[in-house]
Amino acid sequence: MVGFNLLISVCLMYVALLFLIAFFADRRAAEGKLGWLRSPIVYTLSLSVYCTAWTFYGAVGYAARSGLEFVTIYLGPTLVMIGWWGLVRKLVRIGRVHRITSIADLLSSRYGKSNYLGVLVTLLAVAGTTPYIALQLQSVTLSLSVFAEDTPGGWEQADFRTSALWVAAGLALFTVLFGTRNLDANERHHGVVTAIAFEAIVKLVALLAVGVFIVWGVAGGSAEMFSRIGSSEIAEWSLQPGRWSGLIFLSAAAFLCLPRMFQVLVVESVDERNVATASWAFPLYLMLMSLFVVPIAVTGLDVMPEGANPDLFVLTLPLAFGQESLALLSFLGGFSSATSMVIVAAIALSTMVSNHIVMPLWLQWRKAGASVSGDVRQMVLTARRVSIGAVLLLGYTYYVYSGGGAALAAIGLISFVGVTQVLPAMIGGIFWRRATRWGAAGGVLVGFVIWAYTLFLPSIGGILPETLMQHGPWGIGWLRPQALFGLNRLDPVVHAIVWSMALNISTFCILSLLSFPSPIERLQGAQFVNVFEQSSGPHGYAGGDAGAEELLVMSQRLLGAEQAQDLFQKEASDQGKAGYLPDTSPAFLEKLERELAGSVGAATAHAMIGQITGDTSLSVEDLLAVADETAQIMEYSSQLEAKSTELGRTARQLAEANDKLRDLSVQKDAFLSQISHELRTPMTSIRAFAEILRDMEESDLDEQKRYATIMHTETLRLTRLLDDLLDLSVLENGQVDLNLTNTRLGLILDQAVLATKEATGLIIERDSETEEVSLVTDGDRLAQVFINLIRNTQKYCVAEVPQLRITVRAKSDRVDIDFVDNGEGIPLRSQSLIFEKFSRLADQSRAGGAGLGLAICKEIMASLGGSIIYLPGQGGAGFRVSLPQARRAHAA
Amino acid sequence: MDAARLLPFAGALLFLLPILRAPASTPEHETAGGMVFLFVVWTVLIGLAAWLSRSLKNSAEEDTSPDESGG
Repeated sequence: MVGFNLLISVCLMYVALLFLIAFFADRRAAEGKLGWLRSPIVYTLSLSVYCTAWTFYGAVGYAARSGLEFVTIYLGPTLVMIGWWGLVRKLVRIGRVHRITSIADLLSSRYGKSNYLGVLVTLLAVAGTTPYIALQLQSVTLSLSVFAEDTPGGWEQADFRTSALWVAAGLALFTVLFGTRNLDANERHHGVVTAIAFEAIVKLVALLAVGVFIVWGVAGGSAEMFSRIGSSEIAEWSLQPGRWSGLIFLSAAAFLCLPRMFQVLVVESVDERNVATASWAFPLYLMLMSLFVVPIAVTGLDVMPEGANPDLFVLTLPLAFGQESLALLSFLGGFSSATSMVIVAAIALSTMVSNHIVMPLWLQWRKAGASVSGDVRQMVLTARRVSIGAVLLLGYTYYVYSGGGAALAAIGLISFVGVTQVLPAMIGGIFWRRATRWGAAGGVLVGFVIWAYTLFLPSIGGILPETLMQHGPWGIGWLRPQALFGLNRLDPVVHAIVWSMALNISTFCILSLLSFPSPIERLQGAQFVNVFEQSSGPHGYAGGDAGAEELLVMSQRLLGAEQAQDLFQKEASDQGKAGYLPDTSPAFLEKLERELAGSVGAATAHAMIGQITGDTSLSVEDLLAVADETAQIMEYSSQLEAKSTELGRTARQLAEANDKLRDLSVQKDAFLSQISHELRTPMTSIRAFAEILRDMEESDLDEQKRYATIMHTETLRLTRLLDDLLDLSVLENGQVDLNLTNTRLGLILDQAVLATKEATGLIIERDSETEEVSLVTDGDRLAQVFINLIRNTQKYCVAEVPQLRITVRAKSDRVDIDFVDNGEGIPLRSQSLIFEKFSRLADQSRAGGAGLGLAICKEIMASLGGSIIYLPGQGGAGFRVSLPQARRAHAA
Repeated sequence: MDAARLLPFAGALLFLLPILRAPASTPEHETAGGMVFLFVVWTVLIGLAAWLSRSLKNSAEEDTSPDESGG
């Protein structure tokens, strides 16, 4: 028989080994050599904290009592893991993006960083986990007692308590040492996880070893084993459909909601891809863990004496067959199961307690804010250490007071139903944007109360009086704890699952629909539900005016000086600034808050930053203001756009004007030389002929007459030129006197055509019918315009047979008279210049005048109240003369 | 991807099948047979999950840009 002292020393050596493993893993991680620490194997094995001592010892006991039903506890997690793509992957991504530290943090963060919800979930988790920790302590002490049976007198009740206390203290020490070594921004504990992974292997090997020994060593092969199963009393078992399906659901839900499972599944997850491997590897692990449970139970029932505790078959069977080392291994397996569960649960609970209860209280207490002196990090770590101690003490107390008598599995299921109350709020939170904190809190609270009333309190003997159990409170039958609303045929656990879940889910949905999510909740909800679509979402900060320096001081206390400075410096350089103090932009505050959330949880981080920025809550008004601002900016930008279009248009106009000015300047230069030429040519000939006449002594009269005629003609030319210039000047100054008479358009046209009759070769097409328009106008001036236009055609039309078509169109408010020839027309570039003074187009040879004709026409038309424009696109050159209708109406 | 989403439901259906058997219809006990059934289903599911996860893992690795949300 293994001596008790030997057992204790093996135990201590094993614990020392765990310490070593955790220590080296932590050191490797600190050196940055993660390597295999982040391998999918370690992740998968760490998930095995699901398999506690309840699994290790209790499953066999469960099988001995209820046959195959024990397997439901593994089928639920199997289904969750093989469905990882839909759910677990999303949880892990959310956990990573939002730096989630616990399941309470997940809900608090999702529902608007509400700390009340965090507190509620924390309390629920503590209430649900404490019995479970007690269960582990019980299993360790029970297994110890097996080895102590041969010591004289066996174990007294006090011995159980003492050993439980020692185990609790040892576990607290381990957890404090490796669970709170540092305040990691990612809340990851490589040492602990590696130690847990190692323990997972020990568990599996121990159970497989016992199983192989039983099947091949005792029963003599698998076939023999099968016949034994068939003939054993376990085979009397019959499946209860309600329990079967209810327990599969329960274990699946608990797998997601248990604080310790959330810790290893989401918080400690180093790499999302590990989940892919764990999706099949963890179900495989579970299957191997349950493979030999029935054979062990069957053999135990066969071999062991009547009344032996089936929960301890795994340990007592090898002992009964004299396999002491196998029993020792089995003991270590059970010990591993218990310790790993307690360690992870303690870490998870202490994180929740410190982040959601201690830190908020502390912040409240020090109103001055987190930037006051004092090491916040040390404060957080101390809070965690104390919490770990408190959690284990609570478990120990529960163990002592519950007397450790209940069947192991029963406590396990009760605990499962308790923590599962978080499920609707969690699943709703990550898939339903409309879920609100009222719904979540209401659902959790209602579920919690139902659970306590229907399952938890009745399980603790003596708390609820017998009469209440039998007849309901105040004799109201339908309020009986285990037969709510008359459902009295259900198994108590299934009864509790059905009612707590039904009321929880309905409260959650109804309150969510009735309440209105706060702005932060909306933002968080969108970010959680659409976590795969957005890497960074809208910001929760409305651009507060926070002191970057204060933030740095606070962050240094939480993250450590170096890390905080790195963070700030990187942000500053990203913003293009030197030094350590970036602008406290909303984006930066958001980032910083997530960083801090990794240490103290979302709600606390939000509150701490809020204290400094003075921007704790984001109101609808803020959002509206932001939206308003955006709208204003958009309006402003569209105004700017319009302005810039206008500017562009003006610039184009200016450029056009500039071009025109340059052309005009060129023209003016050309005209000056032209006019000097024009004036000089007649002057020169007049002077020359005058000199000839003066010097002529005796010459014939004819000769004199001819010279005088030439001089006269040249003088006329000069006069005409000067007349034109004078005319134009008068017209331009508006000094013209109009001689308005009642006349007909046809008459004026006749006059103009007659005046230009001397020019030959121009065919003028007219339609006399349309020309019968009465006008009140200055007929002479109008005729001058027409004459100028006809003369222009005579001068410039290059067609072999020049033609001019004159069309008259009487419109409602004006009369248009078009003069269109069949020549080449005027190039686009020159069209804007032809009405300017002194303008002459390239072909100078044909020009008879000084280029003042069209300018005069324009001025005349302006003074007559009409206009003359160039009419492009007519085949040849086209001019449209327009006269206002008013003149005609007077005439009519 | 859709297969990965469906797998747990298929698994749940298979695991719940024993409910539909009337226990009293056969005189001899079927615990051993039931055990074999459950473990075979279990193994098949693990195999399928392993096969699916390998292809999904590859697609998740390429997943630098956001992909569709889990449903």
